Amino acid sequence: MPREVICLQVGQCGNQVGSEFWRTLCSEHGIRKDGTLEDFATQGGDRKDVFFYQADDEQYVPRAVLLDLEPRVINSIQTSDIRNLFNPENIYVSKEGGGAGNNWASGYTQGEAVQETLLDMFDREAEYCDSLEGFTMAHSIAGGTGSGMGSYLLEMLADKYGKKLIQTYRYDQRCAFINSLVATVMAASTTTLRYPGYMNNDLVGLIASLIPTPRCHFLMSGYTPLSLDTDHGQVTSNIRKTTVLDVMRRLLQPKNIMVSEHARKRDRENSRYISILNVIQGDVDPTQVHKSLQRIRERKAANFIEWGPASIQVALSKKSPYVPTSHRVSGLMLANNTSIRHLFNKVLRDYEKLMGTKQERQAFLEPYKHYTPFKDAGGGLDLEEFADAKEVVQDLTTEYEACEHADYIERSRA
Amino acid sequence: MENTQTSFVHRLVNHTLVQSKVSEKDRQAHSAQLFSYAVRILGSKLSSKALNDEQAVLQALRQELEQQGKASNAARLLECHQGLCSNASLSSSTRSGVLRLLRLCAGSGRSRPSGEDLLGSTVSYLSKGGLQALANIPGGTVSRPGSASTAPPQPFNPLQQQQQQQQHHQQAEAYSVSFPPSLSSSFSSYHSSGPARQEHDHLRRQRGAAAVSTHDSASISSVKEPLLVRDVLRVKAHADAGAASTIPTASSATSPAAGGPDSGERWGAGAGTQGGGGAVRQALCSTLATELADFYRLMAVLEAHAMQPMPTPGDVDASGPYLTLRRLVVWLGEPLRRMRLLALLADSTQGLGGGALAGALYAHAQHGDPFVSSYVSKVLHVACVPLFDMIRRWVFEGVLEDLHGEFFVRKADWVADLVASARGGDTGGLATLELSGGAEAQAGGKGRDLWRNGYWLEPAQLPSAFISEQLAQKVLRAGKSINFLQDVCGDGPWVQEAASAAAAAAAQAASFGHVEALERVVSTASAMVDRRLMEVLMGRFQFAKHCDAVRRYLLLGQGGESGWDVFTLRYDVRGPLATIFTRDAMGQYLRVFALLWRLKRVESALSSSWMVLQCEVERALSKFPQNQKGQAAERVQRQCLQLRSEMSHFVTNLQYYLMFEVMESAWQELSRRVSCAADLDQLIDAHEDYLSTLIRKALLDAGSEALRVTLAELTSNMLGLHGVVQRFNEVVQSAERRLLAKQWRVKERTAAGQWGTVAGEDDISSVPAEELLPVERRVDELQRVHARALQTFTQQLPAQAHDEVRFLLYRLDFQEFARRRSAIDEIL
Repeated sequence: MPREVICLQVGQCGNQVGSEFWRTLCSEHGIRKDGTLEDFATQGGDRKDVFFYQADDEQYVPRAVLLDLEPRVINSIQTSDIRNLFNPENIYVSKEGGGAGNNWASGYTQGEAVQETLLDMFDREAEYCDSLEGFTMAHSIAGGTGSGMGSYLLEMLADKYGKKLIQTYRYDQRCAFINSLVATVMAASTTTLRYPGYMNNDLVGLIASLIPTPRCHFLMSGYTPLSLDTDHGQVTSNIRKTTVLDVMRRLLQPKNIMVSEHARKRDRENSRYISILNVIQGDVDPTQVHKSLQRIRERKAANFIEWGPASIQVALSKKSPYVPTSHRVSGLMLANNTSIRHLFNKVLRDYEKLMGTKQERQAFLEPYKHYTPFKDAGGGLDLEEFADAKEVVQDLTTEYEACEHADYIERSRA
Repeated sequence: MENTQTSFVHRLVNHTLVQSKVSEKDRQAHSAQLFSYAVRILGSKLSSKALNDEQAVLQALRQELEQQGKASNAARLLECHQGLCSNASLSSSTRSGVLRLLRLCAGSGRSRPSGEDLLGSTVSYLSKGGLQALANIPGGTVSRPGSASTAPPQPFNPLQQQQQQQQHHQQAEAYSVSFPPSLSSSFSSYHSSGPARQEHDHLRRQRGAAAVSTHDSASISSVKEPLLVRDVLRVKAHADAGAASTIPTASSATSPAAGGPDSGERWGAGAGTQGGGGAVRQALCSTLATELADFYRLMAVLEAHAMQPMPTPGDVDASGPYLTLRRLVVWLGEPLRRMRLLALLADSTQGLGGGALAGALYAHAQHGDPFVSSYVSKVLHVACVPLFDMIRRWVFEGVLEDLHGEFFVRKADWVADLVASARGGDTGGLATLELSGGAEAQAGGKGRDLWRNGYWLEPAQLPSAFISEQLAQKVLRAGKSINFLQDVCGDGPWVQEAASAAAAAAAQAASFGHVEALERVVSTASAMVDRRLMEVLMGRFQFAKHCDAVRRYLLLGQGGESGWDVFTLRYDVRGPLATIFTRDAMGQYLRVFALLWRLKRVESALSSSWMVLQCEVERALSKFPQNQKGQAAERVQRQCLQLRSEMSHFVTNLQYYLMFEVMESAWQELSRRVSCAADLDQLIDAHEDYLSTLIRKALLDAGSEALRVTLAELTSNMLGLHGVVQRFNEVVQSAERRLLAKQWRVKERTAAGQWGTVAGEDDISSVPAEELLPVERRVDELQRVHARALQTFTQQLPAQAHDEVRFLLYRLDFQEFARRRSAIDEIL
């Protein structure tokens, strides 16, 4: 029974990453740019139906919904080589086309305004599924559409699809090859679903083992070896040795972890892994896993929480037979690490700066005055939402900080 | 016949002893000893056949007389003999007996050292009684039928004859004629030592005999030589396999083949009726017959030569083929050795047949003497032709034609029925033939498995001296594979082709008789068949694919929401692969599957619990006012998540262990062994080892009973969590509904301009703690059971001998959480 996943890509970044993701998935499954299957890909033993459904003419259609408030990125997708891949009904571009202007509230309210249209798209897509596992959403949290509209979508999905999992891929940086990097991570993190084995073949199981507490569900990812497509062609890191141990060790190095944690050295020493899942792809001798784990424990390469059982879970996954890679083994780490609290702390510090003096606050909050949640009865600025949000983030950092202590369970029960 | 003979001997011995003055006690011991000695002598056929011959004895007597210069006496002897012959009541044998007795009596005067053996010393008391016994003889023998009427001198029952001889011997001894030491020692050597020793004796004696005869010929006037030559020839011709005449002891020891042509035939025929009569035996008999025929041809030639007058010293034209004693010795030397060998072979292989016979012959062929070795090898070669033929047909065509049960490969009776029923089916052998998985197999207990117990090696018929166990196994497997290909795999056409190719191969295998050649041929055949069988199994029947499919079934990873308990693995393998995937094997697979399936079910339940706790409960709780941190619902939620996480940790790591350390490593080993398996046996072994490794490491073997009990407790406890979580969710959801209803009413009233909250109304701001109490208690209990069972499990684990379990232990407590916790528990 397939466990289907519907992908939402929201905003400029979300759509850029999304189109990279679909390119990657197509090449890994042997699906041509128009959705038809390559002749060599009929006996892959892979599971295409997690992310694709088959149209009547045997064409594979991504379970993707493309949303944006401005047409530029989606237009470029619709004129690109993969223009025929997506279901045109699943593409929504705001008629105004003005975007959200880097305003969270704008994105949120615009999303809310078209909720019926969006919900129709989701419902229709969900009906194509036998057993919908959940949604993944690619969006940036920096701009307006991705963050604002994305937030609205998350609320809506939690409301309407309360029993389904929602996984989001978020990033707040822009650089030359981030899109392809995130797409690689997204593809890698779903390989165990697409090439299912006995273990880790459903998204919930994958995520559940990573999140043992109610709040701490912000995962970091790491990937090695990094081999990226840029405009200048393939940039390949010069890592030759790719055994399981090497891959697992490198994944634990901070430089390979893709969330800048804003942590100082001392912070890092106190930080704890709540959980680690390594998805290792490629030509791996499974009997090496034990040895590698042993070495990592001997070297104390990873600090784990002290209030519950935890270990490095290893999911071995096939590599797509259709995509040649220069590396024998590649690895993705999904980790729940308390050091992410330093990222939230930075957000809190930034927040304090913005909310600091009247002047700064005015400059930042002025655009929000036009949108409902921030408009009080008298037309002034309502800051309650901001305060709530800050409290949530503060609670979160506290929670993560508590996780670093052995008496976390006792504390949380008090 | 045998019985009357022995009883006769017994009576004789007793009779003899009764008349002696030995005490009763001694007598019994003597009786037993004497009896067995007598039987041994009878058995050894000690006695000169030549001297049974009336004419021979007569000649001997005459010669002795002449040598002593008593020519007149010799003439008188002849006269007397004429008189004896005229008495029609005396048979030829009786007469010869009498003559022999006379001769012995005559010789008794000469110096013969008294024998030390028991018989000699005992019977020396009995001279008087012996005389009486002698007096009874003629009547006794006359009463024996057929002895005179059947063509004298030979073809009457040697046993009777021997009995007489035995009596004669005894009578002879009664007159203090003891055995010469050489004779008695030759008895013992014959009985106690192997053929080699015996052969040695033969040779020694033969040389002695030759010397005597040459000496004789020199000492007697040379004018008598032609006469002697003729005598010797006649003796040989009449006296069977000739060896008898020159060396009485040796020849008598090597009967019955020494009984000459008719004796050989009789021996062969007798063997036939004894239930042997197989092809190998027949081949041996025909060899013997051929050899005997050759021998007689030689004798005929020699006799012809003997007619040629010997040249006198002055003769110029001396080139004629005349015979002297010397020449005779030279001419007869080798043939006589052969005859003796044949006799030896015939004697020592009596009662044997088929492969056992070949084995016995082979043992003789391993003789140090190159002559013996090469000659027996030749005989062996011929005798083995039918055996090797059987091997050839078996290894090339899979045909088992063995009417007399000579072949070392046997097949079960049911094989024919099974194959016939399979062939009778319209669908062909493949689909209907359920060889090991069928109901029959169950009913039969051991199962009618064509490969495993349809054919087997019969150790008694295996000439293991030259067909090693290993080679025999190869032979067995080659034919078995052919039958398997033909009957089970439906690969008849190939078998036909192979058989014709085999015919060609066999044609050029002229040297098939040699063991090395046999090995070569069998190796070629079995390699060919094995290769083909592997091809068919791997190719047409896709063994590897089936293995993989079964493995995938084991890992069938997706479970529905319901029907977990009723689901079971049923992977039906038919056709040839059923020989590997036997019912038994599938049963073992099923056990592994059941374990993995149960763990999967737990995993799935835990995942569902997580979804409920993290999505449904969390989203519902988020509707409640934010400042409710630490409220009962969240506490329960956390506790459930924590317990779930611990349980999931256990299940996941157990699964990892089973996946990587058990299944994957066993699978790698299986793949390696399958890829280099040369024949079905190796394939079966590889697969059985694979399965037993799986069972052992998956803690499903007999030694892991206690662990399994603990594991069952753990899993059912873990499955219990989901129900509790669902109950918890119901409480939370109902509280949320009430909250939303209240909020809606407040909104309505506020909109209507009334007070939002009304006194006495359901005031719900959090999930009521009292509703959560039963849930909390259940969770506490589950947690306790889990912790206790987990501890038991990890304590029981190290009792498992295999190393991989360490991996499981290690992973279960990767960051030493459990150790720390148990340390804390101890402190508390």
